Amino acid sequence: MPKYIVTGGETGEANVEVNGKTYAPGDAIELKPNDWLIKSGYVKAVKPAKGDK
Amino acid sequence: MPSFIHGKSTAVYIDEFDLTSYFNDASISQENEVAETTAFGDTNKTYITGIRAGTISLSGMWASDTDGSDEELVALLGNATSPVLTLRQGAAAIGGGAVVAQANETNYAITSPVADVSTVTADFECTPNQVSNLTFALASGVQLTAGASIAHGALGNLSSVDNSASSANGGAATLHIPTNTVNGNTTIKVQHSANNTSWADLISFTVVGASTKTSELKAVSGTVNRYLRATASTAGSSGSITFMVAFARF
Repeated sequence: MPKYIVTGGETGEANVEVNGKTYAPGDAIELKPNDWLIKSGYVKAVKPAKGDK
Repeated sequence: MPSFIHGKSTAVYIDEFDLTSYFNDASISQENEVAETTAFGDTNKTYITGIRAGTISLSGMWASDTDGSDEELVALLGNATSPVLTLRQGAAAIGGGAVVAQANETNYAITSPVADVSTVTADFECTPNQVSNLTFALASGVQLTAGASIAHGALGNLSSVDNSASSANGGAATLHIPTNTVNGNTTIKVQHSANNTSWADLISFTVVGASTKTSELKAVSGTVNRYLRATASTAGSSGSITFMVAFARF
């Protein structure tokens, strides 16, 4: 699954919980591309680093 | 078929106090003033809508207990800080009804008849304060906790409430903590979800200190997803906490 970074939402402080695990802003998380957290801006896609496949 | 509720299960939270056992009547009224625009030649009076207002009236028994009806209603009269009110409608149940408001106490009266119990009445004029889109300065919502005492080790995610759909105009949540013996900080939040599986913080109340009794009203704008729940965690290692959380969508 694609990796995303928790943004903290509008306040920048909002945690997210997925599958019973809590992620704080800055944490990396794997989500399905259609998860509502992505559309709502609570997480953003991790840009692949150079050399990543 | 209508789902009626009995008034006997009403609960009254004012700031950090659960004053339910002191009152036997709670009334909520909403009014919208109109200004008359009737002119010569009109057959019927005409009006345009004006300013709206919400009022909460409480009546019950006078008692001089610490944190009781008299002590708190006297303290609130003229208080510069508008108290936070939650009126639970019906039984304590996650998903049950509640009205949330911030309101200034405008009247407090004590009656002591020769042949009956001494009683009190208090009126509150609701004020939107920082929540400018709080219609009538009060709002109907749902209970996100049952207001029961929870041991420090049992804190966590409470049951979710399904609104059937998301809403777009934000909302407000109230928190009341009438008892707290937890020996560490407690964090209480309202979370929302679009699928009842993955969750995000919607409102984070100010962290509650050890053994601190407090209250707070916080509002958010924008989308409130279909599912809501309250969640609590603590750094404490002993004690329990009773907290009431209600949320109203705008």
